[in-house]
Amino acid sequence: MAIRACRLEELPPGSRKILPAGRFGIGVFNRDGDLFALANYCPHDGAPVCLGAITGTTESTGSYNATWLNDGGILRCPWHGWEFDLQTGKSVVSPTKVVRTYPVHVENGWIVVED
Amino acid sequence: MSAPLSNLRFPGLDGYFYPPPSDEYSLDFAPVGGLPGSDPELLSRQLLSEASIDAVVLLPLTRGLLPDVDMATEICIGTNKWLAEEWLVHDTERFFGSIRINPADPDRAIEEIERWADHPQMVQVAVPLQAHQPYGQRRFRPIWDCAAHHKLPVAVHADSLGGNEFWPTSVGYPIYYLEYAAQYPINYIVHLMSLIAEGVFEDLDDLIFVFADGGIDMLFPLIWRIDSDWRPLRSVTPWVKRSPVEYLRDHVRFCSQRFEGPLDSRERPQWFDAIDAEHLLMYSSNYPSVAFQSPEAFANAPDATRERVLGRNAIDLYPKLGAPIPRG
Amino acid sequence: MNDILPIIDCDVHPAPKSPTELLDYLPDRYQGKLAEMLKGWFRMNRGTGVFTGFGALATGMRRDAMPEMGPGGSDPALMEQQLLKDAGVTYAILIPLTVTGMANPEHEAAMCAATNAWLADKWLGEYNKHGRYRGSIMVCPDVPEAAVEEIERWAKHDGFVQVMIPPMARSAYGLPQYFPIFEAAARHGLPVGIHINRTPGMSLLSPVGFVSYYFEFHPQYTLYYFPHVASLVLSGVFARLPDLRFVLVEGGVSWLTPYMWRLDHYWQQFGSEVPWLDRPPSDYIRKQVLVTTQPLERPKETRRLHEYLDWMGSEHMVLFSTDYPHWDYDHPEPTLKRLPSAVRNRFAFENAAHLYGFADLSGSSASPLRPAVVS
Repeated sequence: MAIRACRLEELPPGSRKILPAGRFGIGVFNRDGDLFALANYCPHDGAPVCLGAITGTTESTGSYNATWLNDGGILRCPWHGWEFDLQTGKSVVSPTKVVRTYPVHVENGWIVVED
Repeated sequence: MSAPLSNLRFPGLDGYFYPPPSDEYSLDFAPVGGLPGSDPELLSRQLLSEASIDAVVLLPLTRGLLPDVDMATEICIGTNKWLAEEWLVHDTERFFGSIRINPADPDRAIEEIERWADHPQMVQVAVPLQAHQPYGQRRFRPIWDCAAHHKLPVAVHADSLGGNEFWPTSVGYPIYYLEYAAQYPINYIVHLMSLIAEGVFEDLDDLIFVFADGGIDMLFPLIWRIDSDWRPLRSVTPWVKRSPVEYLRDHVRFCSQRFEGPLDSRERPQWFDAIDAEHLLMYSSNYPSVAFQSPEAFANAPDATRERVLGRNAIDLYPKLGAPIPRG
Repeated sequence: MNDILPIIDCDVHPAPKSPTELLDYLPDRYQGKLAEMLKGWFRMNRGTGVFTGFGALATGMRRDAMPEMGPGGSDPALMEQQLLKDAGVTYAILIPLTVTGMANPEHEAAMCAATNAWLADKWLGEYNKHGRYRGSIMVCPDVPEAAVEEIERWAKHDGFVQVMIPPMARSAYGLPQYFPIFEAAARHGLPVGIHINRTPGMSLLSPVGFVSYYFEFHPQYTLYYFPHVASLVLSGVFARLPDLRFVLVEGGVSWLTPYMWRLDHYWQQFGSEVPWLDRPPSDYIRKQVLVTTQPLERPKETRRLHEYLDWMGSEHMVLFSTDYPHWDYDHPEPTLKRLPSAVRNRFAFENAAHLYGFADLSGSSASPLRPAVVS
């Protein structure tokens, strides 16, 4: 089922909208022109995950070594701070925990989410 | 010990801040006119013969955190020589020992490990539970590196409270001996968290810590909480690549204690399962303490658990033990 | 789980809207020079009190619980929506965290007095038309006389249901100087709760040194409770005050099982030093110590948690809590699901109803267990 979220201009890069769709709502994000849609439900405890901070994450090659990566591509759940990849919905710390993602595209200037 | 430090005074054997209301070491384990645990012959008879134990790992205590770093190191050096010359020679097949080192003196600690690593009866390194910094922190790393390189586990055991220790609980000094004794061993959890958080276990595949004062009873309630806290905070310490609970089987062991676990022995089989005794626990007698625990304490454990706790876990951990000597 | 369950949340943190809102409530006896000093200090610290070096995630709050203005927990409308409606909490026990550990205990006692007056006026008064909030009388244990005064002052106020102290004391609570506080609380039928406050310095020192990271520090909350429990039992406080109840907040649950065993073992061997105990330590603990659930331990297999609860004899010992609005908040639905069904009602509301003197809740109009769909 296709859901019309909004006009493309209403979701500039760096912004998000929460749609009253699906069981818990769907968050639509514009990251530098790329669009992502995720269920507003955290697989950990059911928090409204799409209300969380957009940030980056860290990786390490040994003790005390941390590099910053994927800036703008990580959604941190507003409750317990779990990091989720905006594109895949996968948790960084527990990759089997996944936020449901939805395909999203632009059609005639409208952002459309496929439920 | 060598001069000049051998000429200086240092705390005696029982430099305890908390006097026990009754004996802490049992006189049953003392030779006539001697201190409990001071006679290899008697130990041999009581443990190897009477208690049907096949091999013993001796862990002599030192004197806590002494202000003079060199003195503390010298005591370790002297203790190791004494252990080798007075005890290990007594039974080269069944007596094994621990290399005492002073973590506050990393260079000489490494020297001491190197000196004894190839001795056929020295099976582990030993450090005090007392510390001024948790053992995962960076200044200690070269020591654990060396121990892991030699595939020697590191045993942690409380020394007498005679040195410059911090208060024994997070809220100051307990009043009674039993109040102190019941709580003090639990402080291992800070060292454990630190070894995980600072990536020591992640970096050193071969490093295993043995918490010889016990504490496996308190382990899971605390590690579950540490796990829950690690998940949200992973990005702060990304070198911690596994969840804390996943480091246990590969890197941690506990010595059994009589004063831990259910008082009702019927609960013990289920308890052993709950604490993953099969993988994490090793029998220890605590000879010559009044807290002496006989191997009989594991009589009602499931067979596989009993076999692992009483011997197999130790044999796997300390390869120099070899195969158990068949009893005639 | 489709039950509609009353829920008493035993750990909720309201906050003042602004740093100085609280100072307006400093009682007259603390006005003048002290008030000026405290106002200046608050301005300097931007109202946060002194922070420790351990930084929690972001502000330490649920990101979605931050109001437009003011810190998390300062907006009564938002708390009502998120806690009472969305989370389905029936009653909330409020524990202000406005008092940090201060070098001068008199200052700390003054801040406690201001907090209690503020709580009574705002959260137990103006914001409590629905009658679903209850509060804690904050006291500074290191000024026992002032602490007893505060207890006497607020004990008769229906809104206050317990006394609250921090774990970072100068020594464990069995010591005689603290006894008058517990005696006063017990006399008024008020439980005494312990909850962390932010005290920098030596309070952060573990017995083997300072840890490095927040995820090592946070579990240390539990380590503060070990010595207090042992002390209260072994020094005979529980024996002398059989009506006294202690609530250990936010310190976890399952550790009590092995800890009670430990104390029993050592008491059996070395108990001659404490002849005033006529029963094993676990007996006193089971009757007089309670713990709140948040953050509930989450072993991979939930049955492992149930084992510890079962061994504990925990039926009357556990109180549900969320810790709203903090980041490590435990949402009721997934948390209550993890509890053994045999004790779920007890933990969700019965134990708290009994402890804090609520009338019989069965059949009351409780909010539904499942949160509303986000719209």
